[in-house]
Amino acid sequence: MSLLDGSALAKIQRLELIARGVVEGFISGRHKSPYKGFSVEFAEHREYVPGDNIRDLDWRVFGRSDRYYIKQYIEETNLRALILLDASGSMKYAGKLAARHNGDVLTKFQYARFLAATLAHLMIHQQDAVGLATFDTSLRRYIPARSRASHLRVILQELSDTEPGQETSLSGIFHDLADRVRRRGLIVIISDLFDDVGEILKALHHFRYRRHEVLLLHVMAEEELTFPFDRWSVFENLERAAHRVPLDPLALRNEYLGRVSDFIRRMEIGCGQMNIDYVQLSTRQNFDIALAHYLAQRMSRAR
Amino acid sequence: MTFLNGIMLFGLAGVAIPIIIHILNRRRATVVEWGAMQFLETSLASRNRRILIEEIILMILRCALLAALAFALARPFLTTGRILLGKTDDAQDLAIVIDASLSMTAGQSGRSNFQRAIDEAHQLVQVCGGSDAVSVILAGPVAQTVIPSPVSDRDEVHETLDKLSATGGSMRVLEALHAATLTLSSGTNPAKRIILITDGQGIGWDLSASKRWEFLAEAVESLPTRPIIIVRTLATPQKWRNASASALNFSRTVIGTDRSVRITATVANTGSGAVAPEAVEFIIDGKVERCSIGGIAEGASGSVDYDHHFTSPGPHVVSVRVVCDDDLPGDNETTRVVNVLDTLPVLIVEGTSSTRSRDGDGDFLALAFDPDGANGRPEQADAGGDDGPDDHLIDPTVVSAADIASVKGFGDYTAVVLANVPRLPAGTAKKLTDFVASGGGLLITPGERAGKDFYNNWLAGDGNRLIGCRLVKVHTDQSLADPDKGAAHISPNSINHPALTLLSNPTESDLAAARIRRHWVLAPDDNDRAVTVGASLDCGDAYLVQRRLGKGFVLTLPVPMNTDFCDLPRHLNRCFLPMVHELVYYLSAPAQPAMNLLPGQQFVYTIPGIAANNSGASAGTAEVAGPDGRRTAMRLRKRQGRRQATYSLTARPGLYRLFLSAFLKQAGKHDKTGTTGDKSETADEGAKAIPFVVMSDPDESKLELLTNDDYNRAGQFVRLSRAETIGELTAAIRGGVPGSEIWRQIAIVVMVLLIAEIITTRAIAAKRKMHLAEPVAFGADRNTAV
Repeated sequence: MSLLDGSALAKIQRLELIARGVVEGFISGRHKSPYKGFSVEFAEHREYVPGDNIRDLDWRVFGRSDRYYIKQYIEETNLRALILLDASGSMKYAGKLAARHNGDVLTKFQYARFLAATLAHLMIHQQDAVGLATFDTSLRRYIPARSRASHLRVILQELSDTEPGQETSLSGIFHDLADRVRRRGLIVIISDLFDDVGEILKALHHFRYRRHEVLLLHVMAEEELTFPFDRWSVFENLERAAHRVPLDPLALRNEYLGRVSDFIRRMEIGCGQMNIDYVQLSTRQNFDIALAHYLAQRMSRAR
Repeated sequence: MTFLNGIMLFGLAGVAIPIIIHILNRRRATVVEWGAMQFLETSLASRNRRILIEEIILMILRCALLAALAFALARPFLTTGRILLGKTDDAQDLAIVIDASLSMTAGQSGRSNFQRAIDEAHQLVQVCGGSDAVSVILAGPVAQTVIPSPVSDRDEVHETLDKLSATGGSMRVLEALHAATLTLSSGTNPAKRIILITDGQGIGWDLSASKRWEFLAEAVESLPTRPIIIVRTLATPQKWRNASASALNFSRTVIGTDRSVRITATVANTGSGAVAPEAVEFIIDGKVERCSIGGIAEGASGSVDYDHHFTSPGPHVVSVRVVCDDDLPGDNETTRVVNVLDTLPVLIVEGTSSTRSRDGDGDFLALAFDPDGANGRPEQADAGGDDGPDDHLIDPTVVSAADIASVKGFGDYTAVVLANVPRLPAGTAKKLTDFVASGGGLLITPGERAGKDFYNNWLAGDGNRLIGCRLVKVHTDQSLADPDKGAAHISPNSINHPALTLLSNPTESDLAAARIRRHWVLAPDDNDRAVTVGASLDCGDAYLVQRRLGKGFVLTLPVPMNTDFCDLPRHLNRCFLPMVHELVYYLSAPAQPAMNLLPGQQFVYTIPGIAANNSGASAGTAEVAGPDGRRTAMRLRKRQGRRQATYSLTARPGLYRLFLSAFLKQAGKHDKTGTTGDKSETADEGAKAIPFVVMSDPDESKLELLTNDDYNRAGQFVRLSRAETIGELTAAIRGGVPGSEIWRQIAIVVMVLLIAEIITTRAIAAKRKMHLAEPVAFGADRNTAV
């Protein structure tokens, strides 16, 4: 493969290592089947053989038939996950307060890319099928979900090649994908969600209408949350060229933070109403810690 | 509105500072690449207008604050609008001008007007407000600013007033008011007043000099507020008796040890009614000679002559005193200093020389100046008059024009005579021009050989002809064949030159009898203001043309001083001798040091016989004692290889003495045998002192008071009011300040603006920092996950 040149492989290798570290740490600490976390459908019973976990014994069947049977679940490949990665211009923002990787400050997009790679690695190794869609104004790349181990390399390659581009248009893309992905599965959205909040919620509702489970990872930079500027500044739009807004940040900070708070609150309420997992991730946190924290929380809830 | 500290108005430029800071802040804005633009834009859309209003309000407040501050510091003074502001008690600067002229020493009831003026000045100071400041000017012939900058310390003013004494002479009102204006300009109080306390004598007011009054008015107008001049006129006696020594004249300008000089004292009756002085005393070097004088009618004057032969060279003090008990004793004596010479070096340049007696062009002149032939022509010793003086002042040196190059410089001579000189080298001509300009005298007596082109083209530094006239041609009388008929004569009636005045009297001179057979026709340069014709021939041609150049004179006669053109030398004693002597004296006079000065004129004295390099690098010091006995140290200067004493503090008329003893000690010239004790040293010192006199104006003795018309005329130029009594005067300086300072009001505005700015800034800042209490809750801040 021409894409597997030295630097590309190095990036993938680095991503795999990081992903494994998170997953292994998670599994070894919990002593649970890795399939359970993302396998949601019951399949059949099978007779108990020594070595099986007695927690999986179906005591109701034992009560009726006086035999030991174990619950069997649908294979992990039955879960089809699609990661929607926002590659719009606003994701290029880094800030000075973001977490560092190899000494470099992470942009929101790099942060999101690590998250996507980690999740993809996690699910592929759980035998789940994982797909990837990158977008900005329009859908830039769509990789259908596969569960083959080699599919991870395809996804990682695509993640490595993708760079953030133009303006965001979340709702249109989401509606389009909701129509396109027929089989119900897990939709993982990684984005800063800089779009009209009402339109986003409508699009998320479309996913839910198609009976998809939605995991919304909202990535924001620390500066976007605190607006720490105190000198006259010219704000250059990362999504639109030659769009500059000169202003006194001190004069506008209060108003700005109020609007950000309002935006986040509306997202929280909307996601809560639709039973969507809404995860807020500030780039100030290390992504692996934040993700591990979330996954642990999710598992405890599932239990 | 005027500004007392107008320069601070430049501070208004500070209004631009907030605007510049605002612009600079914008220009130095940092660029931030930003993703969450949707929140910024929506925030900006709702807040933009409010932010703009906040910024405009802040900027207006800050600009107004700086403008008001600059305005307050400029100390605006409102000359109108007092009704709105109410009555204020603004302080004032007072310049008290005290007439110190001679007439102020007269008075009534045993007190002089000057003493009364001082008393009233004390009273004025007493009624001044606590913040009022006072300057004092003593107005004599020269205005002396005793307190040059207004002070509020009353004790200092009282002390200064007590030390004042009348200077004598005449008050120069314009100079005094100028000095007062100058002192007021350095005062800081808004209101200004000049108080002139005088006896109202008209002399010194120069009311006809409208240009000078306009100049004063301009100076007065330049003050922040236009001052009013209040003239307090002290009462003078209705009838008074006064005889004054109004003049003391000498018959010659240059006085030598060779012959006696006639001293004429003029006594004027300037009082009311006739006076009969007891006597007139001539005091020469301390020796008194008493002469009598008869009664003098009111307004008339009489004169007394006294002949005196000065036997020693150097400065001599000559005074005349009128012995008369009158109301103004200060003008009963007048003094002059005469600088008596023992030799007057004169250079005679003759066109041709001859070994035969009286054939040379300068022989007759040399003979006339030095009949004894002491100058090196013994064969001429038998010539001359039989009754001339034994000793001769003029010391002639005769050189041929061909040998003129041997004369190194003309500085050793007081006068130079060009006797029938055809022409001179250009370098010599230039040196002679400079010699005249520096005070030397030049007498030109052209004869047959005189080159008219040379003289006509000999130009002075100012571009005009040096001799002041053009040599046209030699005029020969038609009746030359009969020398007794038809010759031209000098017209005595045409004589108006001071050097020939002695010869204008036919009873004492036979000038008119001298026959001029031939003469140069002189065409005076009418366009040159420095040229005058001093005497003429009866044929109408000029006989004596004078041209003033710098400090010296050039005199041109149309005939040579021998018998070629005329028979003047034949009229030896009653014409030729006095004429050439007087002409040389006249020409030599400017080179003599001025020992009788006008008030304020600088005294310059070159110390004879001591070269500048005799006593090292320092030029030395000397002392001058004034008429009041005070001694002032002065520093000598080196000038043209000589030591020179200059003294400028000549405001007070009277006799001054320059003491050189300290300097002479330094120079090693002092006679140590005479310094045995203080007393003898003082006497010795007095003997070595150089006297000089500052003269007073004799018109000061005439008590001619100003009329109402005179005051009105002065009032056309300046704001002038009169106070007839001390009550009117003290009332005039209290209240009525023409305007009010408003810096206090503006200072309050500044304070209000400052408080408003602080409150506004705090309010805006508080509003902008409210987010600190409500941070955005996100992610780990709330343990995320809904």
